[in-house]
Amino acid sequence: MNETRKPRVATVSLAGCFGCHMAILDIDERLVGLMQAVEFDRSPLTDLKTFTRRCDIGIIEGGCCNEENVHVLQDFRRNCDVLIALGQCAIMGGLPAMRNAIMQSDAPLRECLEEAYITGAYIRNTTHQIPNDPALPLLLDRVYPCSEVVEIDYQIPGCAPGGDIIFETLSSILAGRFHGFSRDSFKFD
Amino acid sequence: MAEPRLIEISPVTRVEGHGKVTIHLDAQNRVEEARLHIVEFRGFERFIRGRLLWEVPVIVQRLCGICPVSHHLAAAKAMDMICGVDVLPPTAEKMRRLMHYGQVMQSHGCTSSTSPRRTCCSASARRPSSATSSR
Amino acid sequence: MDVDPSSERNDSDEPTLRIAAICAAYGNDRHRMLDILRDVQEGFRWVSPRSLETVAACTGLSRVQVEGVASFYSFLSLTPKGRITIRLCDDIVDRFAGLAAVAAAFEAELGIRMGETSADGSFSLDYTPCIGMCDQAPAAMINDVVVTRLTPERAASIGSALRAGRLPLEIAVPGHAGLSPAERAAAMVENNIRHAGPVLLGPVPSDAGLRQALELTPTAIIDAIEASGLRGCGGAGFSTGRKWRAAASEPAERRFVFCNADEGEPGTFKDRVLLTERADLMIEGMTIAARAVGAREGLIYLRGEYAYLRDHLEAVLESRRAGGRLGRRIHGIEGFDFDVRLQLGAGAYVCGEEGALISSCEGLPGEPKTRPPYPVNRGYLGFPTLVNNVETFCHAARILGRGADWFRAMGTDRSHGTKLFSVSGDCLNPGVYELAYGLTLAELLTLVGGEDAAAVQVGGPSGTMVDRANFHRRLSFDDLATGGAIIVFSARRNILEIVDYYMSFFVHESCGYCTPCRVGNVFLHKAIGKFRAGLANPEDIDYLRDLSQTIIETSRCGLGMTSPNPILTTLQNFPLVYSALVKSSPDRVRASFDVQSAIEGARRIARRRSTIFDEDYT
Repeated sequence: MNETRKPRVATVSLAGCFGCHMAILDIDERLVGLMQAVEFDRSPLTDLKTFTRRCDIGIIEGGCCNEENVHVLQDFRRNCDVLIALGQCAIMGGLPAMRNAIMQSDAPLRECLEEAYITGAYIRNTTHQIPNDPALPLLLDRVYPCSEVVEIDYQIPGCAPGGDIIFETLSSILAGRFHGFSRDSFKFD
Repeated sequence: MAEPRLIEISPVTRVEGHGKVTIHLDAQNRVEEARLHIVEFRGFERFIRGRLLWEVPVIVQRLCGICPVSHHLAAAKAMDMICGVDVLPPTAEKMRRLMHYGQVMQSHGCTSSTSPRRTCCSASARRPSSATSSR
Repeated sequence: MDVDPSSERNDSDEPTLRIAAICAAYGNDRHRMLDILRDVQEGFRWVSPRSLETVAACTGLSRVQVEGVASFYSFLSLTPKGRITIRLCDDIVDRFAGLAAVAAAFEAELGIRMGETSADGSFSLDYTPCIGMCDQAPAAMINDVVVTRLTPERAASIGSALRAGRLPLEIAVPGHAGLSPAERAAAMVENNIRHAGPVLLGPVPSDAGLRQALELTPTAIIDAIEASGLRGCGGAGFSTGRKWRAAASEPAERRFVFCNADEGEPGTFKDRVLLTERADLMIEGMTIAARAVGAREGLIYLRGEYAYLRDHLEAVLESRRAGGRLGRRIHGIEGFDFDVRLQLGAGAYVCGEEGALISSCEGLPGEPKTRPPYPVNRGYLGFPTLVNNVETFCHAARILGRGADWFRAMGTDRSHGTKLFSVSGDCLNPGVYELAYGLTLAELLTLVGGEDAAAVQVGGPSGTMVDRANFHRRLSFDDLATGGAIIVFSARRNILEIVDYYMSFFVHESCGYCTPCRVGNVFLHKAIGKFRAGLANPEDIDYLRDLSQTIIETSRCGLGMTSPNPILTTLQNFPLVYSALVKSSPDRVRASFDVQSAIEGARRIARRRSTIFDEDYT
């Protein structure tokens, strides 16, 4: 990275629940130091909705559930040198990918939409239709992890990862000295 | 005389579930309609079917990472109904309240001003019968 | 005649009584579950929900336990099959020999597609993995009958004869009525013995080994086997003497000798020839083993694909009993009792693994067992069980007859004796060759008429794909080890197509217990698909290696430990096949992700085009 300017970081939540962004905030007071060390570009944290410049690091939360996620992810790949997949949704599809494995169903997508908007027990849907405004992005046939759509450089596992691992990994990557996770930094209960 | 057109604001902050606002302007540049779209769809209602009872509160926490406790509590209450529980043990009640107050503190007091706040799905946790804002 | 699953269960109706009778014929013994379900499948053409309940009730098991077995084996079906089920072998050798045209001919003649059953229940058409007929491919099973050297014309004529009501056996072996079981088997399938060696395929005397063994103590028998250097002939190559010694030394009240005639490794058909021509010798070897380890009970696990040999094997067993060479007081020796029963498999490659074979004999799904303990210590029903290959028992009998030194002198330093090689593929003389260990692959290729081979798969899919630069390597346990399968491929064959097929084979045959094997092989297969579609990136080659290593290190049986070999050995010996197909995507967006087909389903539900990816959307 260029020493004479601050590294630029962009973040996005694709089909994520924002839990991993909250986990970024879990670095607590270290956030102050981080904000002095880097510039945030496109991110929900800055409410910048498009890239203003090319970024060094892109942090991706969430996998790809719809075409807009794919579009945004491809945009991130083209505008960032390094992409970090943060959390299980970005790494392997995460919890939303449970839609992929609905057993004994020929049309899992249609079933999910119908259950949510038409046949569900406590639904009040006066149109009796599945919402279909052109502004709504089309859903993908299944949920894809980010690495199937673009090349991903790093992954931080967890649902959500703890603040410490996020801070350590991000700091190492920024300093160019990330060499993978130590064995005892991950405990899966 | 302009063409009818559409202004799109996306993404919208202060909403989990990835909101998008489209403003429809007519030929006179007057606002004809403003629409709020929640563009994220995951299908929780369908894929929790068939799961074990105690998995559901853990699964639906992932509806929202800002207010996971609200979803956890709503699911726990639903599981109470399934099991026919009317009266909670005192410890359970205290734990639930503690978790909920902790979430309120995190959302409103402890995090930086850039975090989405009040209009997150936590607002609906006080009305257990309503559906959450994003699916 | 088929049971209607929706009708109320009536314990005294005819199908239920028939099923109960089947169970009773096996003593309602849950350990005979595979036989029970084979008979149910044969009698009703499927294992219905009602059958599952009845069998469970008769054997004292839960329904799901019975269903576990019924759903495990390929030849048992939970949906109705036709009265005639045609299983067309879709191994790579058959594919290269014109399978597609044969399949199309069957489809046209019978009026159903592959994988379907006709509406009136008369025919089913299915693909099945290697049935051990690679030297006379394309081949198929018609119920238990085997037909080989199929052409589209022959397929059409077979189909038409079946539709006219002629029986499969009559079609395969016209005029079979006057034939003995041995003659029938020989008329149905060719032996293609191309080279007889001094041990097995040349003339062998009857019972010379057993008579010699009876002069020795059990320990001396084992010493002789160990001194001969005989190693297992099924592929693993474990020292036979050591195995017999371990089985003999384990204290137990019962002991078993099992013959592994499951021969499922694609490309292997040498045991089929031994079972046809040297069954007597094989049983003699089992009897010697029984003497050596102190077993009174034996079993031959015959793969379901070789069911056509059942009558012949039963006849050989009966003849030995009649001659006092099997059963009670063998050769008149008081206390030397040993008898053998036949156990048929039902279409599961993994049952060639000794633990899975034992599970199968115990009436369970064919899942391997965690080792230790090894079967020689705790095997069938918890008792010491000696499991050896067909060929191994045959060699053992000859060793006792001619002496350990005679055998040991043949072959090489650590691979003694001769081996049967089953050769198929792009060569002039496919068939069975008995040759001493140690010959080079090049020498073998000259013998079989395959000198212009571009690649040779030694040891089946779980073995090694060898390139021309390595044809100087020797066929022995130290260099190119094989259970017998040698498949020759000419230069016009597509290496990745072969690898693709072999990976699909392992996906199909994995028992499913170990996640890395069950899931990992699917990922490997998909990755090969990416290469074939031209969508692979350079790092996918590392991905293939890493995932392969994970599967090998974390699988509990030989299937998982060898299933990545098609990929690993071709990466090693044919690296250009992979590297020529990879390309980096310049903007690092994956070409393998096809957004258009991913949104196709949503387009249909929403009945609109994409605002993002359909450029002409207005």
